[in-house]
Amino acid sequence: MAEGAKKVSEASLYLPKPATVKKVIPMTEMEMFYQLSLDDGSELGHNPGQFVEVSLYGIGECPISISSSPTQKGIFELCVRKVGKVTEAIHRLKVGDKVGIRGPFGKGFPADKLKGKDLLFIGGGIGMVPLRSFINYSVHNRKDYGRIILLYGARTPKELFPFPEFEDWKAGKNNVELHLTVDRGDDKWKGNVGVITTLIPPLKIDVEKTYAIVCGPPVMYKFVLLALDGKNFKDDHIYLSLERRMKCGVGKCGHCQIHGYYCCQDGPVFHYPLIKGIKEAL
Amino acid sequence: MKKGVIAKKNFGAWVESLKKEGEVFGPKKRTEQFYYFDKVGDVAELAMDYTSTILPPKKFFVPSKDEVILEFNRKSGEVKAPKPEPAKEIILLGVHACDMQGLLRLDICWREGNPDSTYLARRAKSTMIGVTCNPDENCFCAKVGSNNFREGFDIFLSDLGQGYLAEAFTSKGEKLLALARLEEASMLDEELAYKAKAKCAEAKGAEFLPKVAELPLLCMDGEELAFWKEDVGARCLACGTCTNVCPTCYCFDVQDEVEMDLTKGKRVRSWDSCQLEGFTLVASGEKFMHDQPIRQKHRFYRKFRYLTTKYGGSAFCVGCGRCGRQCTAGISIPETANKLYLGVRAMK
Repeated sequence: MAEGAKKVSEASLYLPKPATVKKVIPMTEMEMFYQLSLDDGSELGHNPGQFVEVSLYGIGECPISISSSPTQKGIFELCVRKVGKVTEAIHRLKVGDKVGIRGPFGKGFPADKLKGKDLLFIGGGIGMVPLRSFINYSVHNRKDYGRIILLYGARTPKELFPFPEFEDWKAGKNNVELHLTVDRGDDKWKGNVGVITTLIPPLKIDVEKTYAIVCGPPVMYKFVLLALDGKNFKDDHIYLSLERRMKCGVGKCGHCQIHGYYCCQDGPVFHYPLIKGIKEAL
Repeated sequence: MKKGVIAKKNFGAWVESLKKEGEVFGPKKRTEQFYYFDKVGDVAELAMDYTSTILPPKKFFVPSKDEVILEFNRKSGEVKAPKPEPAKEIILLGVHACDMQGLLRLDICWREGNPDSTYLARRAKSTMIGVTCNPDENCFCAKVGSNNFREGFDIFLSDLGQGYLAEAFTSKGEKLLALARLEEASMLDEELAYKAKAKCAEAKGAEFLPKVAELPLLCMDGEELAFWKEDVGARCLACGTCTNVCPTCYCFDVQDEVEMDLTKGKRVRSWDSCQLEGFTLVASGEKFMHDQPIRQKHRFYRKFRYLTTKYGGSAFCVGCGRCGRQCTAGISIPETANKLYLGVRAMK
């Protein structure tokens, strides 16, 4: 067999690297936040928007978005919602516990290409987690980017992530324009009430200079795209990070296929023109 | 190229000699209509004139279930991946052209992007010995251009009645053919061999209206046709047989298995199927392929559109006919292709 006889690497695609939990911070009722580091001392070496496969041996493996910016050295951060078998086990992890990490995988946000541009981040629910890696990246490289606008919505005030950066941005630090909304308020909530798309029409933005970076639950994309269209956003000014069942992370197992794309390799971040019109995508 | 005739009376002795070169697998009869690839013991059990096996030879390279991809110890923290290379050469005897083409398609998928070392190591340590076919009414390899009797084979055997014309195409093949008692092939033998190969193209087989090259385009135009929903999508029982028996389906699931002491365990992979309801289910409850019409279309489009355009050219259906032969609901690729073809034509 001529082709197969070609010497191939014996390294397994499926062998995780050991990593240690360095810090555990409760976020909301459903989400916990973790700082981890690789045991070999190396950096994860990710781009904002990429994900890792987290292994708990004996339980399984699942894809988790990286929430930290690669500019943060020595550790990387994951924010995990308790929603399935593996994530429930992740929630039981304590400082010092070991996990397996494969990755980083996939295409992240085009951080270099968007230098000099205004960034409009639109995050719904746990979609905020992958966005945070790029927001913090752009904040750490603040002079490389124009305006940084973040629209972030959750179902209730309790479900908004208490990321420490939010306090900075509310206080006007780093010149991040933060707009929060919730679907349903409570007695203390004084901010906007309504789905995230209600934040889009009042925005004063230069659509020629602005790029939208969107991540949220599957149902959100269609409505956000409509609202952006209402602002005369061009399709090629939109990037979307999609969720799929990315089981292997290496473009083999087939679960995350969208048309000819594998979400785990060609995504999870897609330039909107690439997937526009693909029925299965959005 | 080494070539010659192996008389059938000498064939058994040659197969015996192959056993010294590796593990030999070949077609055997299970019941009246079912054949399967199995380790060759008694050469008399070989059914070289079979029509099709239940499972294609992919099972030797992508085991159907519980293939160990990691071994771990939850206490010591030790984790390792098994050595990818098989202990012995895998010699597959009696492979049909369609199934060889199926493996060549799998080679692309497992090699491109991130090469899967286990699959590729098994393929590198395999010898493929083909044989001419006895096509039935479900076969359509010639319609999708996979009646290729050379590509991928180390040796190809054409059934001449009294013997096989054996052609070696690789050095591995030549080495194995040197073990056979070879007689010189006459021009008549060559012509008989050609006739045996032509059976695939001449087979009555299933009617297949579209040209294979136009199928990606038909897929593009036919996404909204009613038959996906009202016909094949409604009939499909979502059992996953079609993907299990397909020579080019390779989607897999991964599970952890732990021993009773909760310490030692294995991470294993097993075949999965895009036809099963939970295939795209994520933990939040979202199913990205949420109904059977979408899943049926996905399977067909993966064969004729997605992978064809992604990897440039060949259809990822090789016309072996297994899915149609074994579908409880009677759905076949030719039927679906014809409905797509006629549906798109009617739109224009």
